[in-house]
Amino acid sequence: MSVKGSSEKTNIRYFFPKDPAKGGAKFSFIRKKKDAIEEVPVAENKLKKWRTGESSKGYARTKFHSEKIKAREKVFEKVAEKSARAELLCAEEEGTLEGEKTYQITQNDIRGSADEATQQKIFDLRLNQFGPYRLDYTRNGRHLLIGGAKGHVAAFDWQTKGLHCEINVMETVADVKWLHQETMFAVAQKKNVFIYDNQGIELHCLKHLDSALRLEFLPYHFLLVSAGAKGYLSYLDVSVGQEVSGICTKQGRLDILTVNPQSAIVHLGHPNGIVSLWTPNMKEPAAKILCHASCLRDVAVDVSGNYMATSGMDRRLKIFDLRTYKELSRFQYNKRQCPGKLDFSQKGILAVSRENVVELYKDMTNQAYRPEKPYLYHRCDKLVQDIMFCPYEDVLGIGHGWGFSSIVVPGAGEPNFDALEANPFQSKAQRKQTEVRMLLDKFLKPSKIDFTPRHKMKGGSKAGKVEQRKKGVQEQHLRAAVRDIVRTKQKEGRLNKSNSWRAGLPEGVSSLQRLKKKSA
Amino acid sequence: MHPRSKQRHSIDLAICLRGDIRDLEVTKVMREAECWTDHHLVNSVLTMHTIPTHHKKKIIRPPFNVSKLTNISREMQFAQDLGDRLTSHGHMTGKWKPVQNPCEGVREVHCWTETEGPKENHFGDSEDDAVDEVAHEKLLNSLFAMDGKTRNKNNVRGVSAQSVNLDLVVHAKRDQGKIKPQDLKLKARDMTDSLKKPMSSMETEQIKRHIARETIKTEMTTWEPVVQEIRSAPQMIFSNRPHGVEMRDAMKPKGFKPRTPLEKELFAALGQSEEVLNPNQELTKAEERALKAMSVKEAMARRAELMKHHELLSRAQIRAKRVKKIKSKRYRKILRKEKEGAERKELEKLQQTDQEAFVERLEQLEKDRMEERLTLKHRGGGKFARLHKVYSKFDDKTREAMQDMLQKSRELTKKTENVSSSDEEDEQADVEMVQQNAAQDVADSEEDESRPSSTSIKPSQLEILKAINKKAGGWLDGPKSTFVYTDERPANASQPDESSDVHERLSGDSQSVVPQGEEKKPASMVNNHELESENEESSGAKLSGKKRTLDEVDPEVESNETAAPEPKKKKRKRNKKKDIDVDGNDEASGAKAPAKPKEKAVTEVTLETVDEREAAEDEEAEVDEDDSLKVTMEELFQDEDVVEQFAKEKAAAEAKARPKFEDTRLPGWGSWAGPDYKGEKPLTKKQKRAEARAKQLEKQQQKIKQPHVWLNPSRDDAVRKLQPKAVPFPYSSVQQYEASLRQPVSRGFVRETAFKLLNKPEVVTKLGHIIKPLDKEDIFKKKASSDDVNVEAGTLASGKGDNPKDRRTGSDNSRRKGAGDKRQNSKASSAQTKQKRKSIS
Repeated sequence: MSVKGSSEKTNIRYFFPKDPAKGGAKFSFIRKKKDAIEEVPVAENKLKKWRTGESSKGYARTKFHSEKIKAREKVFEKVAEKSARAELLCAEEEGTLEGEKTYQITQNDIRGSADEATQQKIFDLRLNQFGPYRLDYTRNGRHLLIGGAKGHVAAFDWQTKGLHCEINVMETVADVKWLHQETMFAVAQKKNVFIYDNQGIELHCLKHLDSALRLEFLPYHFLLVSAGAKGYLSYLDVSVGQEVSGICTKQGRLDILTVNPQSAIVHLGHPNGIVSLWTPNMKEPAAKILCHASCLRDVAVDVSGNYMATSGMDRRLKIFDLRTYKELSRFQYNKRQCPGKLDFSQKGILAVSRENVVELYKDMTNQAYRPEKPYLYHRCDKLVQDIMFCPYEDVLGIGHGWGFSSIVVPGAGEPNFDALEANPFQSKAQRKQTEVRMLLDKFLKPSKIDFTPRHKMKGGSKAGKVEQRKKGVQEQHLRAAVRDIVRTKQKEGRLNKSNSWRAGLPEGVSSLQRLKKKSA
Repeated sequence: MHPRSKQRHSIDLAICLRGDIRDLEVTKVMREAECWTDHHLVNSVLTMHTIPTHHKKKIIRPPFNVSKLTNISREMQFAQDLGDRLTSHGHMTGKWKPVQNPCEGVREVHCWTETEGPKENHFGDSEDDAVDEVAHEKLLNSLFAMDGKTRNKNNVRGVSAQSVNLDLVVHAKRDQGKIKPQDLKLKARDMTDSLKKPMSSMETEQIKRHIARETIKTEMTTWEPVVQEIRSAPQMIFSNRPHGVEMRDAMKPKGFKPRTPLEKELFAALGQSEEVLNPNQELTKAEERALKAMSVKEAMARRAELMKHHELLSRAQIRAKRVKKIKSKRYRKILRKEKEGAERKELEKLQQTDQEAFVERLEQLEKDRMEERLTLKHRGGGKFARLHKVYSKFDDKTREAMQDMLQKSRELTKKTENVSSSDEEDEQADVEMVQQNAAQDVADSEEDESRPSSTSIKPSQLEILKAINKKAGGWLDGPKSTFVYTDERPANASQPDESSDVHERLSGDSQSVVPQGEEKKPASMVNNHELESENEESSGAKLSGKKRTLDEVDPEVESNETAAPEPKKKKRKRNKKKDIDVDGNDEASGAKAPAKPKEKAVTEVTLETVDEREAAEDEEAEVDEDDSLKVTMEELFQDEDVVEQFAKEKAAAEAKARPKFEDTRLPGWGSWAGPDYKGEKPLTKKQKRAEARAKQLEKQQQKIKQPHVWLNPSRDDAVRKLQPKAVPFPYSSVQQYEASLRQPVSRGFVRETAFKLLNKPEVVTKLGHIIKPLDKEDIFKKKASSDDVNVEAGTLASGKGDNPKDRRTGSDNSRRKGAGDKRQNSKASSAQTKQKRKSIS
């Protein structure tokens, strides 16, 4: 009998066959009805988290549909329950550093105490010839792409340190970006953007992405976004190779570009302290926010898409709420210290670069707790050019003047990955499958979607019917014409009557006569 | 036209009666293809009517009133009369008629019924009136005809004045032209029995159609529930339906037969075992033995035990039900009090025994308190309070209830001493210190109070707050901060703050003011109490804000002002704001605004340097700061007034976005000004729309209070085009429609099992499975038979039943009786054995 009250413990009863020594059947697997597994109902607060919204209220237009909707609501509830139950499977927990002065812990300390797998994640690449370097991780966090300003581009699996390709494009490289998978990447070179495959073979030269400075990729739309030195923002659909939209922003050089991962809205930072938000549907910015009273250094948006961090030349770091466009908090740096590059990790740790220093802050978006001191502190050899957190790993990649360094930041990455979304341990077959699925799930260009169904009849119609229809239409026209004539006549008659007393107008002549064109 | 002679022949004539011409519809002539002969097929369509046959109606005589013969004189007269008449007819041999007629006549005279009146009257004065002229004339004619003469006089034509007396004719015929005065007597009685006019063909047609419709309708509606069930079923599995293909016995796989030696050996070993369950057995041998082994006594004891248990359970259930239904408020109150008392006792007990649990309980209490403070559920703003407020003046009970509620609120919001935080203790200690030493007081208290506020909130408290936040639906983690944090400003922070400059400038640009009282307040002013009060206020405001935003149709433009719960307060706040506006200059000069700031300005945190080297550099820099020659970056860029520029840009963009609408109408222009002048021309539809849009935009722009944000009014146009204009068919409200779309169904959003559940195919068929039409006989027979047993028929109709086998046995029982019976028998027996097993265990 199930005991009520202890709802926390799962009360599952299994049927154990009785001991044969005591008269139980040895091979009998008949389960009695009572011995069915009882599932304890999921706690309400857990369910609430997974419910996607309010259930529908009231009745539909018909009784039949009301019942249908009711049945559907039941299914939705079941789905929420299933999701809540599945939470159990997210067993991994994020890491953290505990203690008062965590910023005193160096990478060496971590290397000393951590396991070997973690130790392997702390490494430096000394590439002092072609720096400073820009970098990019794939969506599953497995592969790394670095591009030195002087033309060195290398792609590799950073965990196994297996090199895919290493090339020198013999041009300045402004930015590098993986496309939807590790098989292709885009490099913004001096004049054009080029697309290479993972063996370093040039696949495309995108000439209309002119003098691009920053690249971003929207994986659900298959859009490559580039912001150029001439103030040109363009969206390129890489699945079909068409430019979806090209916008002249009229804002000058665009060297700050970030994408809101939740809404795929592009954030551009401008030297006048304004952050402008763009969509491919409009030639104008969707919104403009004045963030700093001076030049912007960088913009970052967190994973939830709710918060935006900006850094400016006024030595300030600000956090904005993107739901209300309101400033939440403001952090001031000391003299001579100006925050530069920014990046949010999946778990909300904010990395801020400052010359050759990278500081990591926890809970910057939290209202209650505002750190004055960083969570971690790392000093590089040279000026930091680019920073990026590795997805699903507690790793921050830093591109600087002397190459690339990877540091461990406990608690940065999402510990539980969704293999259908991004799988770090993906096999080749899975990769191919995912590509197909991604293409199938791709957002079509919204304006191309034929929303209103066309009411076209099946097959052609018979000649007789066509004739009939024609006649019908003709008759309609005729009737309309007759109606018009009759109405005008009536009107004329009325006017004539009312104007009959007027002098100068002969009897019976319409007063509308004078409005007619004089032919003579 | 004749093919040879080329002459027109009217070869076809459909001859019919003039009366029937309306029944002749189309007449066609079918020629042969060669047109060789002049014999053609004439095809004529006729509407045929079957005239209903009129059965002669039986003449029903009213019963004679025999009781009248009790009157002796009348009886005597009757007897005499009868005797007279019978004698006048002579002998009665062979002829009954002549006897019958006089008998009847006499009887009628004497035993007339109430309705008629005495029959003697027929022979009296009113006789002439009763016989109408036509009938009379006819009678005369017939009489003359018997003589062989014709009588042409007085030929009356047309319809008789009286209603048609068909009876007369009938009787005349019946007696072969002989009309007797007795026949005439009957005419008036049978008026109702006259034959009705036959119905017209249209009417009969109508009736026929009606009947046909009714029958078809009943036939069709019998299917309706079945069809309805099928349609409303979430899934239709055709492969579960019997397809009529039967498995013959020969096709069934044969039982296992051991062939290899190992198999044979194993089979032999297992076959001997008593615990093996053979496929066609219900129980293993061992189990059966156990059943038998149980003595009657044991079984009885076991049964009694079980019964007792059941009884106790049911009693408890009944009691619980009864208690639950008690409506007495007093009882409830007592119950509640008891419960509270018990809880308190338990708490005391816990304090002594289990510290951890006690702390937990206290935390729970604290949580309750916070919740109460957040929601103010018992404060009197609720529906209950509103409703009872008025009555509480007159009704004692209501007043009591209200007071109870307020008391509860007080209790809940009262700060418990047990939970007093270390901060408060510190404070208390401070107070004591103050009493002891007044001189040190100021410095001490300032220090002590500033410390807790700087550390702000402990992690445990944070957790609680987070929990509350969650309960509030995540509305608290919005922009309006729940917590005030202060910071010890470094010494160099006293220099004019640029951020405040920005704000001042911003506020100068647009008319809205962002008050900065908070920023200018010294940190020491913010003590713990204020923190909490503010906390409460802001959260309350947030809650109301939540309600508002829910009400709002356009959630995008979220207003940033903290909405007060009641309009009154709002008004007051607005006034305050105006005051600030007016005193803007004073404020700028440094005077603190007396009014509480509506919205806290963002305070700045100075990030400290971590590295020693850097710190040293900073110090150096500070030393160098005196050198006014060195120019920092911010100073470099200070000249560019980006704020002003932004404000200008924003204004320009807003002006541009505003739809150009001007009312250019002038009286008398573009319209008739004569005698029919009807005042001003109304706005055209387009103009009206433009006007509305302009107003809406203005409203939206007013809503965005931040001066540093510009939202493009047409930012959603691309999506709006794709949004439906009206609520589509089955849904009756926007909410319903949105709710139907709220659940993502793809694999990427929900887990696999949920995905399958959401995308269940409506129809499941199997390749090669014959889908037969529903058998009427099958369904209705079953429905009738198993209405009380199960809803089996329903499951069959919808095809969603989980055990198609059972259904088949049910439905095809009649046809395949042998097999079905067998299975059913086995089923029944299995049920029995199950019961047996239960009793064993």
